[in-house]
Amino acid sequence: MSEIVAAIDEGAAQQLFTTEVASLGTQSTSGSSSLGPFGVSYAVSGTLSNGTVDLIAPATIEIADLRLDWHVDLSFQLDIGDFIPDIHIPQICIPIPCVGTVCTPRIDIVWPTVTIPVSFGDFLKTTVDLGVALSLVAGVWKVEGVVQGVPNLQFGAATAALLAAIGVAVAAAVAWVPLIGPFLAVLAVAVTAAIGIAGLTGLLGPIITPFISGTRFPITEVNALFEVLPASGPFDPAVFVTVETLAAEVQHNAPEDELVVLADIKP
Amino acid sequence: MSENLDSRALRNTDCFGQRFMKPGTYTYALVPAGGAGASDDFPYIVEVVDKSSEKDREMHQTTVTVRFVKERHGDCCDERTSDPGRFVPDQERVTVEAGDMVVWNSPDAATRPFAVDGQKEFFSSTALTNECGYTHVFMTPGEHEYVDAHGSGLRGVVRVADPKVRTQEELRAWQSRLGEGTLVMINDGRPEPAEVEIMLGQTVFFAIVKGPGVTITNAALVDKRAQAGAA
Repeated sequence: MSEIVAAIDEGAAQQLFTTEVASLGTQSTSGSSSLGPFGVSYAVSGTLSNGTVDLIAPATIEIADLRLDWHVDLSFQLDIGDFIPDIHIPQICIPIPCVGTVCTPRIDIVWPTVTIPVSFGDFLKTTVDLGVALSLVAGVWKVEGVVQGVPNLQFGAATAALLAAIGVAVAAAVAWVPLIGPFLAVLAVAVTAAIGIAGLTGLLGPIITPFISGTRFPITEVNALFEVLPASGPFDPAVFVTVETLAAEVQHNAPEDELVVLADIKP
Repeated sequence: MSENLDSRALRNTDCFGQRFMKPGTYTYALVPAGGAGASDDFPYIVEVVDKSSEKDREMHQTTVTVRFVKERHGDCCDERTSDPGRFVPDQERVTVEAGDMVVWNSPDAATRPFAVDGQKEFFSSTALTNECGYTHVFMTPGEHEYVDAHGSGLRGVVRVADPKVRTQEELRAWQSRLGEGTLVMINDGRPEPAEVEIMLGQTVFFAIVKGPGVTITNAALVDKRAQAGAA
């Protein structure tokens, strides 16, 4: 039987989780990936908040409605010639009175490659299960809740909104290109169609999921050299015991569930 | 977006043409836009010979293609980045008959703007004097006012309609009209007609019959104070 037992109920666990999730702050990362047919570089940030704690015996801490506010800055290269046809202005000859006929050479309009910057943010909610992870680091037992598995994030309407934002970004980025006017709408539609919802979720899923998957929420820490009695005088020093092993579990102690930490000690 | 309409700065959508009425040797340089008159070196030649015996012979046109090349030094490919390069014609010397026209154009969109700068005063894309012309493909819709950047008071307007293409059929219809040109005759600084309407991607021929040495320049590109001073 364990010699030291500590427990918190769901209310306390909720308070603890709210504090810990707030302390995580905004996380960010950057890299490169694929956006449909395009290679894309990205910088993404995410902030977790909210979430309702539900302790489920024997070992599950469920966080429902965990909210992630995310923001992504994308940049990709668009070769306009991949989407709209080349324009050839034919040789034009015009008779000039009293001079003769003058002709221009054929002129080929070569579409340039342009950089498309896109900035977009949204939020999503998900439910995750935390497992309890125990570790002894530098003489301190750490008890943490760790998100289990890979949550299936639903981006929902955000993907349609992001596609629309990409269309707007394309139109803005190529507006300077000579002769692009007649093709502007066609180009934006062609680019967003090439990316598609699948292209967006293929990008967003892998770069946003890590803000949740594997996230560790500190629950408590216990010094391995645990003070059981404080010093009461110069000749009566503090009494310590060594926490040899630590365990954590969810127990159903009617009328509620509790997160229980169990310690085995030796003098 | 501003229309790059400026006979002083020729791009791939522009041509400069000069008709040579008298036999002789006409030397010229191809210089970066803004560089006309800065050098005494005129390495290229238009040789104009007497008109052939064929009396009713129509004007012939010779087109010179201009490219921008980086200078190379040594045996191979040691390209000095400090060397800005130079403009070169595909024919360093062309021979035409009196009354014929030579047209200069750069087909490469990446070529920086340039000017044709003749040693003789009448022969320059930066001061269109007589029997010469400038063509321009209009690439942006809207109303484009042009003036003479030298302040002669020359002024005209080109209205460029947006084809508003929405379907492949409309696209084809628009493309089929890109081969249409519009002529503006400029005599003594007066354009005729002074206002023209064209479709996006169409070409305007500005033919200078006689003048004080003007430019065809988008009014938005000309320093407002210079215009006011000229007025």
